[in-house]
Amino acid sequence: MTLSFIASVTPASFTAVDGITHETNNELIVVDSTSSTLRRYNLNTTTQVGSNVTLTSIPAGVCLVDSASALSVMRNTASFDLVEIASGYKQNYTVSGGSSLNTTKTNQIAGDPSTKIAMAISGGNSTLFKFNANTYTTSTVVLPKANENTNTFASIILKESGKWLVGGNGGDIFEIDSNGNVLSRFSLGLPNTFARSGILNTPGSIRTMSYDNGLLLVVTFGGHLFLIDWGSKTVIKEQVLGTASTSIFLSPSVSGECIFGSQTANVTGATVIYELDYTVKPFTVRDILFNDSTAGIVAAGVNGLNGRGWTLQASPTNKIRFITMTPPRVTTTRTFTVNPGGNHLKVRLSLYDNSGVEKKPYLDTIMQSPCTYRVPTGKNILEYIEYGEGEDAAFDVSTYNT
Amino acid sequence: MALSFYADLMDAAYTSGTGYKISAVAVDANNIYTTSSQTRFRVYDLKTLSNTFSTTGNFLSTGVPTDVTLLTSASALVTNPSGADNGFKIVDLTTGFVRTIGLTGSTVSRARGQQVAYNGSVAMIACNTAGSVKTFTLAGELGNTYLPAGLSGQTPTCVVTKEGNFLVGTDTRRIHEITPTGTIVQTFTVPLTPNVGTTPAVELMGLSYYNDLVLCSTDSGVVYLIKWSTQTILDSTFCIGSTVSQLGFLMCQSVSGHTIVTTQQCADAAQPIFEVYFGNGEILYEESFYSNVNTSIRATGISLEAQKAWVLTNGSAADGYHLRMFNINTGSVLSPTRAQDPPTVDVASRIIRIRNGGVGKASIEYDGTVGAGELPVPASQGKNYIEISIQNSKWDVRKFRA
Repeated sequence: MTLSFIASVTPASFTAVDGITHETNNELIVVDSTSSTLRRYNLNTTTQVGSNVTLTSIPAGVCLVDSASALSVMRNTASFDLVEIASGYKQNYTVSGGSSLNTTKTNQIAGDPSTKIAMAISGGNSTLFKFNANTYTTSTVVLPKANENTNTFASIILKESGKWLVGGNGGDIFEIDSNGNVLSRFSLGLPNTFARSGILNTPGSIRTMSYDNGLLLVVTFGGHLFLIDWGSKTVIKEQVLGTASTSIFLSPSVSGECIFGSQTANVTGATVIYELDYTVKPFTVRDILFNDSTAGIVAAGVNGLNGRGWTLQASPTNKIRFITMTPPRVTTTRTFTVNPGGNHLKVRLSLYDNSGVEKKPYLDTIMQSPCTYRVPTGKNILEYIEYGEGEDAAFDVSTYNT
Repeated sequence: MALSFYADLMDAAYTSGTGYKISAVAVDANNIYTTSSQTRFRVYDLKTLSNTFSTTGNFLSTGVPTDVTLLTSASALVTNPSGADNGFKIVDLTTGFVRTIGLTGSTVSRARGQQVAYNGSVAMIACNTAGSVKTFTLAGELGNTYLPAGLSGQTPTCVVTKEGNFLVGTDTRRIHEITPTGTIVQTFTVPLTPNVGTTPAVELMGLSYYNDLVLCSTDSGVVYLIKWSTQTILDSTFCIGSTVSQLGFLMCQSVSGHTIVTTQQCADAAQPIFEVYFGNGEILYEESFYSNVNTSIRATGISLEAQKAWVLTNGSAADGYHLRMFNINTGSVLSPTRAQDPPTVDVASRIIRIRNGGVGKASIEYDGTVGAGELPVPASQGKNYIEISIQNSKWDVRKFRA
């Protein structure tokens, strides 16, 4: 796909905090910290829809909790603001006994419009805030620590309906349901680590995440990028992005791609946002969009229905930049199963271009059978499967068209 | 390559009181040649790491040397970071005698590696003078300054060899191929589109060349792989730049399509060091090491002669080293293949050879039809491979180390 710049707007009294794409309405819903407002912008016309909605206090993030309502978690008070999108009507809901959040990062709240449940990061140890838009009630959810490195949580995204992924401050990631039950967990470690005494074999806090069809993309506060096969809990790719000061963000997945950039301005050179493919031939940079020098980008998103997108620039001037990511990516999903004798195995699965043009694999992972992954369409695939070691190793090779 | 840790080395005069550090390094089959921030030239035995020689007294009146380039088995070129000392120095490796050569009044461009490249007879220096490059010709010890018209207004920032010529990166997003006599043969301009309407300055941070392929990094954090003869971008990746002291990727001259890549600084405890292979025309991260350096790295390097790679840091006592060295296993070998069906009967077959650095670190290196009988196929020494043979509907797999 190709990134293109469409237009910029510079809203008055505005410092971008977070945004969410309403795909059906084709709108950006954005919250800001200067005026503590929620605003809507049409992604085609790039103009504001309706009027500013003044929130109860400074917001930390925004999500959709159903198709008609946006939910914002407050930064310094333990509460949510629920906003009816069409009318702008706002209602505040306090989280009793909750410890408020105080951060300016994205991925602080994640809503599930199917179940009308939203989860948010709080300032409490191992604690999340929960909002139920069915009953208009709030509560706190306490998760167990994975290890002594995790005390508070740093980021949260919706994995699929009814399930969330929560990143801890010590490299731990939890998959939970709407009741806070931990369905699975993973502790991220650094491979090939050797050091003098005193080093922690931990990559640090989970800054941001993006998930698509079995693959979880994670960036730590230390500026390291990891691709995790969530089913097998295996790190399959890693790369360095920058440093802790760059504060990387990842957009939600759009057909297995995401936009990422840096919240911290680059003091020389051009600030860049990348269109990154992390599901088909990861990590392929599909396109790059150059911003101003010293631009700090805090969030981005794309409407998967039409490729219309946005970025929020918080420095040196606050802007909303409207972009497109076109044409819509042509992929499909495919379920892979390896179950000799009825036992589902953990195997190495590799998909290559059988035409001989592309050298790196479309997918190379440790798969826990069965699993569904995104695959490119219109390709002739060479599939390689391997499991076992030494004399017990077994292989399978097949070719097919997608 | 296959990387494994070899050794750490501190400057021989380092104490917490003096704070002296290794500032530049070159390695041959027997020795490690360094300059020190104490302004000494020191030699260490490669095997024992003992300091076998050190000059006495400062050989520069001011500044700390930033590059050591081996010219012959008996001499090295040491760069002068400050023009105050009237030029660069030649060091006799046997006696330690230091003398000035006639490249007066210029300093190297940047306080990091890749400021000098040597093609076996001529060294080209990236001097901090816009529009010019300087060369030192060993025969006759001649210093020259060239001002090619195509370099006007541009300051060189890094240089590597390209067969007999040089590739020079500049602070205006250009890479020039320049002959030893200062003639520009070809120029590549790093793109800045699509953009939001501005074209900020972009600087080349590092270069690596192999077999008509140029890997380059910029201070915008974008890394490109360019096919030089056709001036086309084959692949791209990222390393987000941050503040001035933490820009982009450093890399070194390639050995057989491999280079060592790292960030200048990683504020997190884990400093990443990557082995990248680009000889296939795609950027492949093959090995990664994370070490406990929370400080800046100024250069990386590979010595084919010594079978060693390294990173050079501004290390402190807590880090425990200034020079971190790795064993490498480079070189190309011929690894034969053949297909038989049934056993002992040679048949023609399609052979797909995959270089296998592990999950997420694999790529197809050879894909061709082999006639009946043995065929030697080039491979990277020490690398693991997966080889698939396909003949009609039959297939077979073997795994081996070249």
